[in-house]
Amino acid sequence: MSLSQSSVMKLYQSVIEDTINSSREFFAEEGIDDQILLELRQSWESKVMASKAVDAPPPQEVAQLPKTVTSTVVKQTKSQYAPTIVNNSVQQLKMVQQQKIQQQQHQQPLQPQQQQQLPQQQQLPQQQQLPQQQQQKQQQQLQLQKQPQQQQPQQQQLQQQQQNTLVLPADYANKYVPIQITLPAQTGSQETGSRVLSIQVPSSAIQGNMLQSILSGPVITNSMAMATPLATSFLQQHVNSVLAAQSISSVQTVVQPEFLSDVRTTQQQQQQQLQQNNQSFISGNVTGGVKRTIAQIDGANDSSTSDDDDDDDDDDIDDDIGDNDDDDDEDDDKDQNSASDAEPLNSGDDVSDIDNGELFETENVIVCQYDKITRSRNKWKLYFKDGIMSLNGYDYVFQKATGDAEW
Amino acid sequence: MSYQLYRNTTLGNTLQESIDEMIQYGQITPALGMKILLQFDKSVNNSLATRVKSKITFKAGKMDTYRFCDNVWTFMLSDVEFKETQEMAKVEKLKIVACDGKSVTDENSKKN
Amino acid sequence: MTPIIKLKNKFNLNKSPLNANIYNNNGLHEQEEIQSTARKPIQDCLNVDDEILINISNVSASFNVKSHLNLRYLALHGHNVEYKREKAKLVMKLRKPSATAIIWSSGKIVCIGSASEYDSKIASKRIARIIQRLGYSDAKFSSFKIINVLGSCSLPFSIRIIQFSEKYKLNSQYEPELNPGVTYRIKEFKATLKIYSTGSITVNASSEAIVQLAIEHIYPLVLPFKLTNLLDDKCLVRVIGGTKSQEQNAGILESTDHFPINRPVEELVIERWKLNTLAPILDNKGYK
Repeated sequence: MSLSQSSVMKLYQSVIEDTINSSREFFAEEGIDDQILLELRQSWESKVMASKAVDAPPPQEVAQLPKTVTSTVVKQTKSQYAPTIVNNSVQQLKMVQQQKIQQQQHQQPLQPQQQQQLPQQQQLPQQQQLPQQQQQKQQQQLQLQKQPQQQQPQQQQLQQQQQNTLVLPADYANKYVPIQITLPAQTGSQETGSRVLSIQVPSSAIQGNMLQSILSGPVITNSMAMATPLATSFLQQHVNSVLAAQSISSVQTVVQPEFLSDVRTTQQQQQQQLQQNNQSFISGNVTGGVKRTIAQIDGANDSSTSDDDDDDDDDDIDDDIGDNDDDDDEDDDKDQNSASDAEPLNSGDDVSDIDNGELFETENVIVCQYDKITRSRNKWKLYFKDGIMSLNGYDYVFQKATGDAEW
Repeated sequence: MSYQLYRNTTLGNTLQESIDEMIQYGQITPALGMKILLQFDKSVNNSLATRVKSKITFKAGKMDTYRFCDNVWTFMLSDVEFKETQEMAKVEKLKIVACDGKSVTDENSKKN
Repeated sequence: MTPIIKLKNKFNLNKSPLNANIYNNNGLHEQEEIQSTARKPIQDCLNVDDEILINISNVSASFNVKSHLNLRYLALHGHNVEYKREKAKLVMKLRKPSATAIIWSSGKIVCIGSASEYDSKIASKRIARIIQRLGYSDAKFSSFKIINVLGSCSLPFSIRIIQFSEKYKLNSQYEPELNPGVTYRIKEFKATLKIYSTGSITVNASSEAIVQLAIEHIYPLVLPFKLTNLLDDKCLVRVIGGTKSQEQNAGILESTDHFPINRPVEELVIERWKLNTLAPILDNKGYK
């Protein structure tokens, strides 16, 4: 076993130890019982273990395997999953807010009379660059207080009813458990106050972030517009179909009301959207505030008129072909406009390979510090230190890492 | 002061989840949660600097994109092979976020 | 007869209306066509190598997006970018076509490193488009202008640059301690050439067409200072004999008179052929 891998658990233990011990005084200051601190530690440790990131990777890692639930003992604390879901919606809310901020930003610099507002503009991104967690938390608070008045109520609360399972039976993964989803009042309906739905999911789905990713984004938004019974079956069906698609477990067929069959056709789309959403969620999470999610730029607030999908198939291999196409467009519009000073810009001027490059997000992430970054022509040399890596779901740490790459 | 970028790791994310839960359940205040996270930043920066000794190399098939802004480098790499003493791991896509290894204090005073 | 002087990436150029205009203005385009149609078949056979290709290695252009830009915002959302706050400019690289854009918050952008005027314009438009799509929907593509074109070519012979610079004192500057090449300015074209003894010439000018004009202009001027057959002898002497005899020969060589400017093409070809056969000997033994 390599040192970079075997050091992980040691490092993590030392960090947990140190963080908890050093936090003791904060607890004392606030007059909070030590027991709570211990609970935090337990919760944290069990989550780290459950992540499997600290396990020894298999000798030959070929592909990124989905981490299936094994029958090993998984200790679950009472509150393990509910807040995760909430977090997700917080994230979404955050995205919405970012979108708004972005919108402002888009407009601001473009209006000459607002140019004197420059300092303010420059502050905006900084604000967004607040440590994510901090922001998230502030917003969460906000959300907890203001939930009823929210304009875009993407709020959901899942509460796992079955709890405190310390030792899980072997068939745990396939057992169905009811979960409750709290939705705000139906959009446009008379009734006020939130509604509680209950759907059945396999317990395996509660593991990790699976439910969170299944029940997010457009699905929830759509269901909010439905009457309670319809929303229930809609969500149930959605969960079933996603799980079946992931072949996580054999899903029982749920009796479908007739009227839902129409919904089914749109579900594939929704699922895709969902995945995209989820990806941007991940991206927002892993970038450490360095970069915000990109997805919104071409979303509803996209200022560009062009279809951003036009070059999607373009990859390195057929770049040249795609490029020639571009060039032809270019000629046409230049012929028309060579006389005028300002020429219009259109999709013919898009850069396909960068578009593709920027859209990918990955769960393979290194966070570290750089000692030196050098480049000669397109050859880069990267010198890093003090890094934590997550590769194919397993964590590694390094003191030094050097890498080569060609741009 | 220490970098906060390690919050986006397994260790950091799980801690944040745990803290969020406890805030949710009213066991701790958000202010306390923030203090714990700041303590985590210190601990992880310190432990990484002192306790980890492994050295690795990697080679990327392609650098898809790079960015340098606010003294942070971000790279997107493809087809990356990692080696320690022998081959360690291969990934198709990799994202690297790196803060300046030289000016920890400067960077954080800017950020906060 | 002067060999055909061509730009290497002619194909692209013809596609570009921008350049077509320049050609038309200068009457160069027509002239070239006449030249190429006037070539006789027999000459074509003889002159297969008899082209001097100008390689455009770096085109710089400037344009303006007519919009005030928040560089940090662009850096955080764009790709392949470097933003150092203290330098107050953002550097963005483009892969296709390969180019580097330097972006100022005023909206002024300089695009460098393109391989042709055409590429430079494509790259500039793409940069403007990237900015537009990053949120500056009002971004324009205006005031596009080629600032500088760096071209180079390699003449198939060596040049006695000292003698050349003496003959054209007015336009030349030769300071071997500063630069091994002669700097030669063509005022009418606002072009600056660097002429090296190896026969390679670089030109900085404001357009590809002017680069070509400059090479066409300089060719007949340097031709008389070409090292000819005697060079071959000199090389042989250098290989066989010692340094002493070489120096003597070199002295003789440098006093050699100019050759007529308009020499028959056949002669040119033969000379080059001779040079080529000599090349391996030189590579192996000479010039260590």
